[in-house]
Amino acid sequence: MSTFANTTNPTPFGSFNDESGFQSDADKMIVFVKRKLGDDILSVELTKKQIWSNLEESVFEYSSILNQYQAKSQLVNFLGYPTGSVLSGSEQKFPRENLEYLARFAEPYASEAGIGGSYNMISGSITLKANQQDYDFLTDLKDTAGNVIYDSAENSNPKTKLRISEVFHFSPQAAYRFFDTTSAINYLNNEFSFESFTPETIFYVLPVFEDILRAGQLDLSNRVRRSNYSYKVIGTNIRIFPQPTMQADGRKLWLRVRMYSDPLNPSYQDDTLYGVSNLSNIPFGVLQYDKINSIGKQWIRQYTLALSREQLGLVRSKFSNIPIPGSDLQLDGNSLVTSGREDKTKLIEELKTMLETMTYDKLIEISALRAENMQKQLKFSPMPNGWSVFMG
Amino acid sequence: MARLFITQREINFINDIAKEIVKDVIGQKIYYFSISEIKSKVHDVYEEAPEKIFENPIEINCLVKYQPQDIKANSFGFEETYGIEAYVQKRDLLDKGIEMLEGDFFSYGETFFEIITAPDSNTIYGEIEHKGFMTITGKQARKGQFKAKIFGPTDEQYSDPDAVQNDFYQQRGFAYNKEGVTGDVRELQKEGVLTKPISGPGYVSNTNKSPAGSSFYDES
Repeated sequence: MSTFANTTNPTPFGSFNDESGFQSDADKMIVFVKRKLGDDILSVELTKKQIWSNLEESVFEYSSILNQYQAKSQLVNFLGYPTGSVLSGSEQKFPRENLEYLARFAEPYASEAGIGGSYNMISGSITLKANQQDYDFLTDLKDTAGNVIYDSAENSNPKTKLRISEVFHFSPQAAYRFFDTTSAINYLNNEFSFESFTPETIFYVLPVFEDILRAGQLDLSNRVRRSNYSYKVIGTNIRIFPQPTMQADGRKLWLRVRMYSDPLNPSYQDDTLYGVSNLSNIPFGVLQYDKINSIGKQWIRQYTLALSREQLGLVRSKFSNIPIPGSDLQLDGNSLVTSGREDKTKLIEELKTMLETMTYDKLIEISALRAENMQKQLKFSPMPNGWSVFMG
Repeated sequence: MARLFITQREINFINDIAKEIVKDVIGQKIYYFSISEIKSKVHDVYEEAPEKIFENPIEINCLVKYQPQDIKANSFGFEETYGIEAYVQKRDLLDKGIEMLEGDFFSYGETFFEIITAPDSNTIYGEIEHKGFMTITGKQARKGQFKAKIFGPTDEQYSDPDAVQNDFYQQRGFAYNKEGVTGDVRELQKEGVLTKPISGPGYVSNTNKSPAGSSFYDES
């Protein structure tokens, strides 16, 4: 009698054929399915290979659904990581969380603010002319070698308009803090870490935002209070205020510009662009059958039965009537197909409902609820004074 | 239906389903007595054998359309004659190497019938080489014309051991069941498309010692 192990190509994909547990269960599945469909009394027109194929499909289905929910929980951590063999088998791992996804989202804002991001800025200068306020920065902005930045190789794929990030209409001063609204001693204190011991230090407890606001104040005062220079950008023209005089003729106005950001070509080699991007390439493989627990295996058995019932229905409904001696026989194919599909739908819904409660997000919610309920419960617990701290 | 959709495998499927219904579910049977042309002595003038010698009877599973007896009154009283139609699967006859001919006899219950007509009644989905079944029309043999042992079941009013069929055994493509050789062939099993049933041919029995009275409900 042919068994799974000694049958050639017993399943279409052969994904589990080498697993001993699968081989053993496959043979038992023949009896299980056929008996459930009534083969002890009347024939069940299903071949062994059909049933094995259904078993394989059931494991695929189970695996796919499980992986979908695992991806729901974990996709955010895998984004950008290699799609190939490096993470193969990661579907059954419990990875550490990371903030790569959030950091990537924050990059454009950092880039706009000029404090980070993934795209380089380019510096260049416009040579000022006496009495000329308007300059076309696409043609007049040049690098130190005199090349037009707009036509440079860095702006060739694709060629885009330049965006002016900064106009150096004042002289940056490294030690400006000595001469500004804040005591210069703070600078020294900070450099030498003795802020708490200098005579000029006033012992205030200040929040961090106070420092941040102060930094903003300094920056603003540099740009506004210390200079009456200004500019305005309209289209490709930059208008300089005030109008350059004869003394400014030939001097250079330095600008920092950047090209429009090509999301697939940052300024550095970024292999994560080719990494995991969505559900289709997260490197989740098919679950290993031998590692599926009893809960999963029972689902697989039931799903195999449902598939087989549907399949038997399809076989029997190929002909609506079978000619038998003296009459016609109506087979029960359609009802088998219907009930098989109903069973499949029900099993999938049940599994999904169960998994819905087990995404990592949901687990956190449940844990929070549990903690909250525990707090409520503890409020009713009699505790001797002095032995515990009452909260809330 | 087009031959594109009805291949030999579909024909086998249809034949197997028909066999299953006839042999494993319904369980009606006739006993066929083939007249031996060699052994029967044919009259030189009338070219008919006044006494017919028949071969050993063969049990044939079929569907029987039982017809009530035709009662006629004549000068001698009332005369009852039976007629019958039996539908025999052609494929089963081919498997067993049987050819049913007009003039042969068969019994159903306690009555012997002479085959009046035995045409092939249909083809399977119009394929001329695949016949579905034969319709055997039998007319009650005159008493004295044909004498043979009567095989049961006959009628529950009799006390013969086989007057009532107490046991019914399926065949399901097995060469043997508890009654002996079946001669049953299921094409899909023979061709290796399907495997044998997971358990042997089942039965229902009134004489069986099992309290369940059936292998379907008690396999111990």
